Amino acid sequence: MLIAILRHCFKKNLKVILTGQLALGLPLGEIALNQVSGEYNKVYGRDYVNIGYRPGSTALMVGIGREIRDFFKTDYRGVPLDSFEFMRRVHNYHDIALLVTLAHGAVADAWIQYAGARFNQKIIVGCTGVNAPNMYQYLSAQQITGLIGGLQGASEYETLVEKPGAATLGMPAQSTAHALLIILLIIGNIGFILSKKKI
Amino acid sequence: MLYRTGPLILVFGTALLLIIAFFIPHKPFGDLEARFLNWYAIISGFTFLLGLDSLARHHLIKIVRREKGWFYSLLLVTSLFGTLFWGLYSWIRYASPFALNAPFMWLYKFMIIPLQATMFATLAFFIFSAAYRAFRVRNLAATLLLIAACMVMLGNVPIGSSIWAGISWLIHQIFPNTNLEILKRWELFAAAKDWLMAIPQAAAGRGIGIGLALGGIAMSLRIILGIERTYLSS
Amino acid sequence: MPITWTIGILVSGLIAPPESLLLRDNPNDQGRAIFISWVCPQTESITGFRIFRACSLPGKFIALNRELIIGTEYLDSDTMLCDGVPYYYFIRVYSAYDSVDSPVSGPVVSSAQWFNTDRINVLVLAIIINGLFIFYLLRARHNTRMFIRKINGLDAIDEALGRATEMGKPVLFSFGLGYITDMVVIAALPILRRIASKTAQYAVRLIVPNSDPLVMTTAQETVKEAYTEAGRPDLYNQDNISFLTSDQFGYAAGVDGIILREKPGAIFWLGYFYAESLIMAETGHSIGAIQLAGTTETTQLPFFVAACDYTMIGEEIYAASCYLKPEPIMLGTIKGEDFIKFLLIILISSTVFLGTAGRLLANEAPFLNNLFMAIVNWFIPKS
Repeated sequence: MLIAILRHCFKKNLKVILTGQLALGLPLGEIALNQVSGEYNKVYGRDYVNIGYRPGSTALMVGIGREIRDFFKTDYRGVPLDSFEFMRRVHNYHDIALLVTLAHGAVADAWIQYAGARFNQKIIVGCTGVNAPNMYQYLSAQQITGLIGGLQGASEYETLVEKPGAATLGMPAQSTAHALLIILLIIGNIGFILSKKKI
Repeated sequence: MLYRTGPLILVFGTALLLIIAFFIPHKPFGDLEARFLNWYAIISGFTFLLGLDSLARHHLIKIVRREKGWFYSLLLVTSLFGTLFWGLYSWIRYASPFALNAPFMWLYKFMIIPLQATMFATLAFFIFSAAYRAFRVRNLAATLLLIAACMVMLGNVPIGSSIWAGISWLIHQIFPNTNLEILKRWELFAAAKDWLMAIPQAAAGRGIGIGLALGGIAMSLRIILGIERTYLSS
Repeated sequence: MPITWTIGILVSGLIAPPESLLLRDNPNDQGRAIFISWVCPQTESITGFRIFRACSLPGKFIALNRELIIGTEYLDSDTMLCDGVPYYYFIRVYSAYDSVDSPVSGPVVSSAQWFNTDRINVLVLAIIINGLFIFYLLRARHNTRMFIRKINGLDAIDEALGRATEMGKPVLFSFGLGYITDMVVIAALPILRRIASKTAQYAVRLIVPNSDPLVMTTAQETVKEAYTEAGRPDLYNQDNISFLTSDQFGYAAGVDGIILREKPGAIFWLGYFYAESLIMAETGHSIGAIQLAGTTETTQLPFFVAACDYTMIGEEIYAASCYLKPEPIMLGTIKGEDFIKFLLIILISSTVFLGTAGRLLANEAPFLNNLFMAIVNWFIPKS
C-alpha cells in the first residue's frame, strides 16, 4: 500500500513527509522510501523527508495543527527541519495538502477526529480489511477523501499506478483462503444441520 | 484532605484551561495547549522506563531464584538488553537505529518483522474456528449473517468475479434470452458487498459511534467534575 | 537559438501582471500569519508565482518560496514573521521565458485573535450538550428513583469469578493495548476494582498483563486498594500485575503464553483491542475459560461476540461505573445521555426528511434544499 502510494506521489512530483505513530512501524516506511525514491530519482531533503517517531499519539496530532516543529524539530537523523528547503514552508496542516494515514482503526479514527474535524485536513485512510468497514461511515460522510481497504485496496491501488506489486501477488492467496473458508463453513453447517436432525 | 482534593482540582483546572484554549488562539491560551501536549509527550516517553523496570525486575528475580521457566526469562532479558544495545550502537554509529545499514535494522528486518508476521498469521487459523461458531445456521438471523458474510468475502476477492461470471453463464444457458454481457457486468458479489458496507453496516456503525461519543462526553464530564474517581487512589 | 529568443519575446509580451493583490491578517489564529490572494488575468503559458516580502519601503524584498506555486492564494506563516510589524508584498508571475511583477501592496500587520469564530458551532453544541448533562446531574441529586437497564456483561462478572473460584483457577484481566488517556481504559478501572475486590474475598489469583507502563501502575494501585478494602492486603502480589510489551503481537504472544501456562478460569477483555483480539480470545476459548469482553473499538466487537460468553457493546462499558455503583448523581449522566440521544434522533430524522423533500421538490420548493444545506454546512468544521 505504502509503496504504491509513494510511487503515485513521486510520479506526480509531490513532496512527501513521512512520520510514524508506532516506533516499530517507521522502519518499514524508511525501507519503502529508500526503494521508491531510487526508482524515481528523488532526493532526500529535496523531494521527501522522514521526520521519524515521537511519543504522544493524539497529542501529536493536535500539536501539528499549530506547529509541526513543536514536536518534530529535526528529521529522524537529527537534522533540523529548516535545513530542508521545502520544509521551511511547512508549519501545520494548512501547509499539508493531503494526509495519508496507513493505520489500524483507532489511529485512523484519531487522525479523522483531530486533524480532519479540528483542522479540516484532507485525509485518505489505508487500513486492514478488518478495519475498512468502520471507515465506510467516514467515507460516505466525506470526512475522508479516500479509502484503501486491506490487501484488495492495495492491489487496486497498484493497478491504478500501473505497477503490480506484493498486494497484487497476494490476491490469489487471499482468494483461495476466502473460498476455502466458505467451503469449510458450508461443510460445517451441513454437519451442524445433520447432527441437529439426529438429536 | 489535600491528598484527595488536590488531584481533583488539578483535573478540573486542566480540563477548563484546555477547553478555553480550544476557542482562544491568543497567547497565553493558544500556547498553553501546545505546552500541555508537549508535557504529555515527554511524560509518555519516560513511562517506558517504568515498563522496562517492571519487566526486567520480574524476569531477573525469576532467573536468580531459578523458578520454573527461568531459562525463558534469561532468553527474554538477553533479547531485551541485546536489542537495546544494538539500538544504541546504531544510534551512535549511524545517527539513527533505523538507518538502512545499521545492525538494529538487521534485527528489525530479520527478527522483529518475521516474528510479528507469524503471530499475525495465526489469526487465519483462529478466524476459521471463530467463523464456524459465529455462522452456524441456528436461526433465520444467523443464516442471514452467514449469507452476508459469504457475499462480503466473495466480493472482496477476484474469485468472486470469476464465480459470478460462471453463474451468469449458467443463467444464460437456462434463459437464453438474457444478455450474458449485462449479466456479467452486474458483479453481484462486489455490488452486494459495497451495499452491505455502505448502507446497513455503516448505519449500525454510526449508531454505535454516536452512542460512544455521548458515552465519552458523559464519562469526561464525570471525571472533570470529580464524580468519577476510580482512577485515583483513596 | 534565435527561434527560441523570438518565441520568448512573443510570450513575454503576452504576460499580464497579477492584479487585486489582497493582504490580510490570517483570521482565527495565534498570529504570525498573513493571507495573500491575487487575481491573475491570464492563465495560459504561466508556470507559477513567487511571493516577495519586505518589512519597510523602500526595503529589501525576500522571496518566500523557492519553488513556484500554481494557485492564486498563499499563507505566509514564515518563522521570521512577527506580529505587529507592517509588511509589504508583491507577486512575480513566471512564464516559460519571462516574468512580470505586480505592484507592491501593503502594509499589512499580523495579530493573534481572542476568539476563533470558526468554532462557534462547536461552542454552541458544547454548551447545549454539557448544559443538558449538568441539568440532569443537578436533577439527579433530588431524585433517588432512577432506573438503569440490565447489562448482561456486568451481571456476569460474579458468575465468571464464582466459576474460576470453584475450579481453583486464576482470573486474567487485560486492558489490551489501551493507554491511560483512553476513556475506555478509565471506564474499565471500576470493573477491575470490583473484580479485584471479589478475587481478594475468594482468595483467587488475579493476573493483569499490561502493554502500557502507566496503565500498569494505575492497575497496581487499583488492585492494591481493592485488596486492602477487602481486608486481604497479604494476598496482593505486584508481580501479578506486570508489563509485557507495548508491541501489539508481542503482547498477544505474551498473553497467549500466560493463558496456556496458567489456564485461568475466567478472562476479562476490557479496554482497547485491535487485530490481536481474536488471537487472545480464541486462545481463552480453547482452554474453556469463561470470557467477558467490552471495547469501544467496534471493528473488534464481532470477534469478541464470536469468541466470548458475554460482550459489552458500544457505550455499555462507559456505563459500568454507574451500573456497579448506582448512585443518583452517576445515573444522572446516563439519563442526560439518553435524552441527548433522543434529541439527536429527532434532529437526524428531521434533517433527513428535509433533505429528501428538498431533493424531491427541488423545483417547487427550492428553499427546502437551501435550508437542508444550511443545516449541513453549519455542522461542518471550518478549522
